[in-house]
Amino acid sequence: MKTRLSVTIALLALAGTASACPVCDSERGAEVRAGLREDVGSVVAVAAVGLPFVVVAGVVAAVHAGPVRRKR
Amino acid sequence: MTSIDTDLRPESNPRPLVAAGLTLGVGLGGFVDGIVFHQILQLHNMLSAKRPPTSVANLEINMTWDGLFHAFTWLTTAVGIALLFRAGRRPEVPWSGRLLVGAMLAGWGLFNGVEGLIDHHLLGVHHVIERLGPSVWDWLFLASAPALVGAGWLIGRRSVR
Repeated sequence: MKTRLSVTIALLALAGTASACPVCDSERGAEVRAGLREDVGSVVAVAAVGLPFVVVAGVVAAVHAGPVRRKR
Repeated sequence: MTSIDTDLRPESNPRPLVAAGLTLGVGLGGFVDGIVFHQILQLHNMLSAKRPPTSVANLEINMTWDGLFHAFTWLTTAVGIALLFRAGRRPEVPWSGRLLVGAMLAGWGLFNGVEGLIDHHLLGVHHVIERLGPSVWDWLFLASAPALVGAGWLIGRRSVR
């Protein structure tokens, strides 16, 4: 029981060093948020993620709306 | 006589099924890229050419962009399922597994072509094997596009004859 409690406390203490997520309230978390803001501002990252899907959506829409074949 | 019969037959319209297959192929192809290359093999991340994942902060930033990419692939797959469901309710749509598989392969190729061209070659935000930078692997990834579209077309065309 004592060992388990010690391990839990140690794990909780170590968890603080890895708090770098975008919503983490830590110095590194703030660094991540700043980096993401910078990426959004430069537009390149947004285009890299979104543009391929916009293009393929256009292709699929063109296929969907194309002329209908008559059955022979 | 024959022409009148032909005119009275219902129109065959495989396009809704092809559109559903293409959309599913794009979504599932995106998942192959994200799961295999980004996560399992960790060959690159979304912005790994701009933000090398050599620090915890840069890893986290790349992970966020990878997550947004996966969100788009999830949405695309969901739209593909909706399109497939709608296609299945239309009597004029030929219900063919071969056509669906062919369209899905073509959709995977479409994804590789568009994503490869935009992200690897035009924007240069990442490369297939990041530690090599721009390499022959980027061109092989791009070449997989016509190969998959061609394979999909060969498989699907027999069902719409």
